[in-house]
Amino acid sequence: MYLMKYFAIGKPGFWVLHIIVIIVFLLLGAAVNF
Amino acid sequence: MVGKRTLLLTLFLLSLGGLLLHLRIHTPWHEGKIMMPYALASLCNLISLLLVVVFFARKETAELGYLLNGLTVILGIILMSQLSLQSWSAGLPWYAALLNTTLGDSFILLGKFMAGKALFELYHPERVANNWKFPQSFRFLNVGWWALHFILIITVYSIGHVYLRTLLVK
Repeated sequence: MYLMKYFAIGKPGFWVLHIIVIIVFLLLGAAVNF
Repeated sequence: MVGKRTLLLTLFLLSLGGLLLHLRIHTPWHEGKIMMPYALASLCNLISLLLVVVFFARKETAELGYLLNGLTVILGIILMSQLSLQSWSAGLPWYAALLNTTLGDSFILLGKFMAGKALFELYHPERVANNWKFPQSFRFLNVGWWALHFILIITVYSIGHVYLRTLLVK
């Protein structure tokens, strides 16, 4: 489980990844309209 | 490994079928313009077709494949549900929700997720028991973790659509 090496809870990568993912999904939600 | 090739082929065929279906129902381009949601759907499908199968082929990268497979499934279900909800009109009979929406397509996507789950558990049989234990179930890539992230991603996406959209799109 090499992803856990960098992105496990408590590692800096955890917050960096989650903030990026949250921003991406917020922008996706804002951009997509049918 | 028994069943590995069959499951890889299942993932590949489901992705290929999805991509061809997307291109048939709504092309990503229309009159020289790229249609954003439709292009996004085809792009996710293409990523799923190429990367997920490649990542799932080896045990070392299977967790990345499972993560990518699950995230594209979640995004697909959200986008297709949004498409159905936005074109929903009042007064439709109850069976219209079953037959005239993208609910069926979401179930096919869930089937693709389950194929990925079966393949991941084939690589990591030691993790299967943790799926139904608390709190281990909520650890990375277990069933509780997926359920939690499904709800959280829907919430973040909805906040973006309801609040951020009014700020960005005038």
